[in-house]
Amino acid sequence: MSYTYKKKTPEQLEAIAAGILAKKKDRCNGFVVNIEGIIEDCDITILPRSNGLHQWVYGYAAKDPHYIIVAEMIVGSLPTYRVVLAEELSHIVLEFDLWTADKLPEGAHCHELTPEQHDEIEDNADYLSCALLCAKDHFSSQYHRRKSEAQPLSNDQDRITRVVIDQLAKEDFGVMPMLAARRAVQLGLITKDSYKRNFLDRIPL
Amino acid sequence: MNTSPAKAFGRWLRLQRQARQLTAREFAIAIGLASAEYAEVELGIVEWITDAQEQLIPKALEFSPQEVAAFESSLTQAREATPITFESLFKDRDQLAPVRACTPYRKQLTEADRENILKAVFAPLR
Repeated sequence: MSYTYKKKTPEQLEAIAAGILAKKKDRCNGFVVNIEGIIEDCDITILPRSNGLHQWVYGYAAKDPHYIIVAEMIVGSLPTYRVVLAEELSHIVLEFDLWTADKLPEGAHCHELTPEQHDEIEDNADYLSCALLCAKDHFSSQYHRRKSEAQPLSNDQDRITRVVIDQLAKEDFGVMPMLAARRAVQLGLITKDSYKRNFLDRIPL
Repeated sequence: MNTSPAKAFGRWLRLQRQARQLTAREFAIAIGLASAEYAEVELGIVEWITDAQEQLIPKALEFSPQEVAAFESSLTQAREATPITFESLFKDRDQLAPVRACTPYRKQLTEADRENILKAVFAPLR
């Protein structure tokens, strides 16, 4: 196996996201990042296709770096669609060398990766997509603001967490609640236990 | 080499849309096309533009009279040119093969999945 993926740390991923968002301030509407616009700015065409593509894949970065293919079925679900686009853009950013070479290195095709490599690559792309869609400073400040507003309404901390994450996802950042919850874990705003209890165990995947 | 009039029309329409800060998804909805159909239009496959879209596009993009004339002229040329198919745009199918993917349950793609994906991508839209 000749392909090596060097896993990025959360700090490195935060820095990459911050760099992209700083260059694309004009692509932000309030807290909502226009990921479709950023992708088009990169001269990448978003190509929705149908014919049951969603059975295998929600979206992917194609060998030709000018195309991100998405299953048409998910285009209608904007929060999901945005997450898929952000994740594919993240893949291109994180492994840009794959797309600049004429040929993929041996062992780099998605089906050739070891399970460990697959997990590391997907973990990093997932982290970066969360960081792109929910900018660190905005997300943290909105979390604290929403939490202080919700605090007087209930003594149940789990309920407050769910309400706050739901508001952040739907009203502020335009993402799925699960993504907002993962972002809250990444930034240390909620614990992994709280995430599991309030989101993972409640929503069938 | 001359650019095909249909491809030139698709590129022109894309530029008009982008100049108005509209995403392809939003614009497809505005002109009554599925997003996959509209994506093909921007690649030069103009068969999706019927009379309804011919009326809706200038309205959705708020074309000036000059832009309407340019739109109609460019569309006429595109329709008169040899039709483009999706397959003819990507003669090397591998160009659209998945390198990294977002899959249900985060499943790692197999070689068989890769082939099924390419079959679905290159199948004509229904």
